[in-house]
Amino acid sequence: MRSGTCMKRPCGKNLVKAPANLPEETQDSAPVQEEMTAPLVDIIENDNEFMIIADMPGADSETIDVKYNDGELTIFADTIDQLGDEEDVDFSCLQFDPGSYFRNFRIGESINSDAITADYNDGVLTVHLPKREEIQPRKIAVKKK
Amino acid sequence: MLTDYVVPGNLMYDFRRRMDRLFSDMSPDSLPAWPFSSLSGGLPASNIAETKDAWFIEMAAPGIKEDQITLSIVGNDLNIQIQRPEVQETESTGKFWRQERFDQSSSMSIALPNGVNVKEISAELTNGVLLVRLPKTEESLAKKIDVKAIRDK
Repeated sequence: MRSGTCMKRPCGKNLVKAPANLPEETQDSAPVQEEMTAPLVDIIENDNEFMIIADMPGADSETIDVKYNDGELTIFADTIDQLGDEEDVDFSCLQFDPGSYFRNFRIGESINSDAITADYNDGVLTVHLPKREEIQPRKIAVKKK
Repeated sequence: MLTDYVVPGNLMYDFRRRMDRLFSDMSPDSLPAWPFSSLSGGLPASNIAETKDAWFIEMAAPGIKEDQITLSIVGNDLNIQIQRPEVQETESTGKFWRQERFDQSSSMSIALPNGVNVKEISAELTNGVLLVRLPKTEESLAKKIDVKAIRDK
């Protein structure tokens, strides 16, 4: 962790009541160690998938770990300290100091867990959670008698 | 550490004083205004750091590409503008069940401290982190002054 006066910004807005199928935050998703930050996420639902979009600026792409295990999705990444090579760094203002990123989600039965994919671009991790075939909206043709 | 040396000019005093004044009217609910002389939109989480030969501004800007950031020097001010495309819930984007990510464009300007080599200011964007390097001028680098001991003869 860097030294200096550390001001974590409070964030979080527009929390909406979630449907049953939605990936839910697990009870114990609070960061395990002090050096961990929960990345802010958007959760979006389409016709054929859910998306979890997580802001993870400064993450070391080689350490990004997206794990699915028994209904639980875990996102983890270490960060690269860009000022790590400098000597005698003195922080007069320190708001951005994530340490590692870590967050847990509970995935419902409606997700096709074998087809979960993720990509990381420009500091943003996008996890695609495709819905199972059965629950995707289908048009039902109405036959005329 | 710089306290071992004599610091010429008012480099340290001016910058620190401005920041102390802004931090002092901080309450738990309000964000510190930082040493910005003007600020609009939201304020991305940022750091100011100092080493022996440069100042650094490190800012979290996830999802931003280089062409969405405008850095410019106007007079003695460094302007940083981050243009975020507006995110709206439409047919194509899908339904937002949770929205925590910062989605406001922001524009801020910071008065540069004395002793910054303006021509050598550089900026890098890596994995959503903007790092602006403000090198100090030769004259403003701390210089050690030797103390000669004078003994009674």
